[in-house]
Amino acid sequence: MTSRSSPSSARQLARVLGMAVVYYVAGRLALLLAIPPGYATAVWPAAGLALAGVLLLGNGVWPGVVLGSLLVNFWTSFDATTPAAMLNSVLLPTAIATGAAAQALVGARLIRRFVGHPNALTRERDIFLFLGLGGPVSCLTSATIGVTSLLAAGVIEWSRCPFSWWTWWVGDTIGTVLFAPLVLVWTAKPQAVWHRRPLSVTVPIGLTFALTVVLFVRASAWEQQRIEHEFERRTLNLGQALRKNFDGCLEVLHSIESFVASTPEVNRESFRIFVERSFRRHPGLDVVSWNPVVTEARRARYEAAARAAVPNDSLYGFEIREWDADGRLVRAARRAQYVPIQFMEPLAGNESVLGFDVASDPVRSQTLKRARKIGKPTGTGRIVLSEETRQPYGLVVFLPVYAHGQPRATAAEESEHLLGYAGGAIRIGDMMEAALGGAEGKDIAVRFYDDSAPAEERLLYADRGRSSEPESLRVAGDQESHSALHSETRFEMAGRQWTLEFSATPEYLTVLPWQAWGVLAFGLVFTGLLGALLLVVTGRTVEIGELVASRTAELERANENLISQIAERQQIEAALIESRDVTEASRRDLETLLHVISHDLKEPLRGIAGFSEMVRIHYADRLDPSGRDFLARINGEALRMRRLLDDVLTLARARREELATAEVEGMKIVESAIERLVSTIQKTGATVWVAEDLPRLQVEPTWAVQAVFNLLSNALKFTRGERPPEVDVIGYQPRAGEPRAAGLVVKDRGPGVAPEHEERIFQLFQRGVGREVEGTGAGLAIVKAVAERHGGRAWVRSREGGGTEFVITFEKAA
Amino acid sequence: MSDTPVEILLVEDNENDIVLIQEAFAEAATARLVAVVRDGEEAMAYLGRRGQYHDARMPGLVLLDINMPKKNGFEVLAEMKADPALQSIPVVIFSGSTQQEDIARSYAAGAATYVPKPMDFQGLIEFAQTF
Repeated sequence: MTSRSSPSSARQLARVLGMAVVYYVAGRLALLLAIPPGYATAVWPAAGLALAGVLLLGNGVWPGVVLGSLLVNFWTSFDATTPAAMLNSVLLPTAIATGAAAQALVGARLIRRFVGHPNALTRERDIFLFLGLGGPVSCLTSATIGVTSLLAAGVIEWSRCPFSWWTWWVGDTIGTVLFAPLVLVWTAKPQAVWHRRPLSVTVPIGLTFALTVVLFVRASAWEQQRIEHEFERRTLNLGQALRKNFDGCLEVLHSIESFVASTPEVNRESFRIFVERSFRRHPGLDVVSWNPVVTEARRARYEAAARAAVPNDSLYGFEIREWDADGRLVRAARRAQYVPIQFMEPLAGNESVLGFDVASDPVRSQTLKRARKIGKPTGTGRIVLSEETRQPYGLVVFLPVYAHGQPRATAAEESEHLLGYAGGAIRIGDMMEAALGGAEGKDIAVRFYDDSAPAEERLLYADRGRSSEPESLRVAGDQESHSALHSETRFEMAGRQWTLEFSATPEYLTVLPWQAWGVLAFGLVFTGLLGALLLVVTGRTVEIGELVASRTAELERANENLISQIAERQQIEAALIESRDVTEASRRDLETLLHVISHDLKEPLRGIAGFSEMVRIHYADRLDPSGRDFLARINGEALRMRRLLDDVLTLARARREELATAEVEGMKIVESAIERLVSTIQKTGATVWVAEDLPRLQVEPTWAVQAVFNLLSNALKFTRGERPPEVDVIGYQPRAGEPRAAGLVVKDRGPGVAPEHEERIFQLFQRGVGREVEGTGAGLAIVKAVAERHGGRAWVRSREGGGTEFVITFEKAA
Repeated sequence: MSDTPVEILLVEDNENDIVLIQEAFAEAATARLVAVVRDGEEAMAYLGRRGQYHDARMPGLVLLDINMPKKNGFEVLAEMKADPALQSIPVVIFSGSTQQEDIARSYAAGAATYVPKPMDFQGLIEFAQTF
């Protein structure tokens, strides 16, 4: 695995060291959350930081992860006691560190492969794949490697493996799920788009996490309290059980006292029957005995009677005995008083003790004296009762028994009426074990002290319980606090002071604090889900934001485009308007010019026409024909010029004047035009046929009439051969492809218009015929001007069967 | 048509037109030109009997051109109509213009009638015959 870029080695070294430091710090902080007693942490942020580090800085920082992990674990578990332990405490962290690094690399690879890096983590799929692959899936690595290493190093047992693996995996998963996305969110680019996201994600997660930690601490404290209360309760119960048992044993002595006091003659058999049942009910009771007080005077008789009472005496040969210097039983020396063991049950194995003068033993003698003094069962100190090494200790208790109903006011009376002592030996070990129960007591270490004894003889009983050292190397810094569960009970019994000491073994605290752990795990899972949710939600916000931003940018660009287009259009419009105005102005000028010129030209024309006429009137008879001809030509030209000027004026007006249109029947227009041509029609003998269904026209009547007049006038001029003109006027029906409008068609049977002249003839003074045809050449130009002023058109088309059709259209009547 | 020829003051600046009009009236013999003045100022002087016109003979009708120097026909018409002594003299606007504006303005100003100058002599004669 190589990093994609190749930075300089100094930078790479800096990255590796940085990774190590980050891992170490995160690890140390996380250990503060360790849960006793397993020292597993429910969240291991270092795993998340390692993953983020490998993603951001490249695979090459894996040595930093190893180094950081080593530092975390090494410090806390270095054990230099033995070379083997030292090796273990180096190898084991190394193995665990390798697992951590491998996990980061595996996670990074999975993420790069299936999610892609860098990734904005805005889409749900990306987010959940990231969390899933980086969390539960890749965290299998470190947990497996770590637990296997622990197992191999013998630090934990098989039975603890599942739980250790579970907590390790959960801790890494939660650490990754919480912290890896946070790091990526904070370091993602571009920051401009992201700038709100890190806070929106981190703050809630941080709060929930803190809340979880607080709750966990409370739950832990509560759990701890619970454990302590539990411990107290249990030890209290145990203490009480012990005292009850102890007391029970002492009660047996009391019952023996009653028995002896009430029975005139106690014999072995009756004693045995009496005490037989007691042993079952008082497991710690080793033996009970009856020890009468025998005076020296009565000794011989006592011994004889005792021997006689036992049928098969060959084994015992009862006599009062004592220990010699070597510890052997020998006949007791003479003294004033003896307190022999007369009866002892159970007898089996204790036969040799019968007759032993307990007062000969200084310890017991002391006890006897004390017992007499306080009148209650009184115990010796620690006595080795048997050869066992495990729990060898016991004590012997004596209870003085007095004759029933006898006064004891004075020492003499007391001494006189003392019958003897009921005695019992208690095996501390059995009593303790009976009181403490079987398996239940195994997780609590017990020590039982006799405070009344001298220091070196005080411990009567000790049981460490079963303890094993559970291990994860994520060891909390402070061990003592967890094994500090400890309680002491003091009581007085059998005339002595006792101390019962309980302390919880680590086993006791192994009972997993499910509540606290559950709170923490739940809280962290919840935080993790919250984190995922926040990523999704903010991711959407980011995407939407980006979308909005890009659309806004598009819109702005489009807007700018539009604005510039509008500006262009406006410029074009302004230019058009300007040019139109200019055109209009120049057209107006032209037309005004035309008008003025033609008007001014009329004046001299009037003179020419008038005076040439005057000459004709007054002087024609004095002229020769030639002269008269010249005069006629002058007149003719003047007249012609007048007509030209009139037509030009008309045309100028036609183009210039505002039209006040009205809806007029087409028939009326045509009739008006024909009226003015009546004389011409009569003169030429023409036939003019007008259709009846002429359309209604929206026209200025005068001009419409002028136009139609011009058309009809033209039509009347053109005929074929000698035939009189035939003129038809119909309404305009558009053919296919022709514009729809209201108009008229004037048809003639003239020679027709050559196709190349069809356009020309509508221009001013452009004539399609020679001078033989009357006309100024302005007529059609006027027709066209009128049509166009009305929003229509004028054109010519050839006619079937010869001739021409002139079409004039106006804007359609409403 | 009355028996006595109408006495007409002709206000006209074009010499040719003056000659033709005089000829036409001579032909028609329906009216006689009592005076001819060549511009608007002269016309007002005549009608006001000022200066050389101190003993001018008042016309029965004024034949008034529009386009004249110094004072044009409309101004003369306006002054005539403003003067109580001259109001009642009918004014015929006799002009080369066939523009609608001139026609309308003439009537609006109180002209009795508007006659466009005929373009041929025959037309002049016909016009003269209408008096």
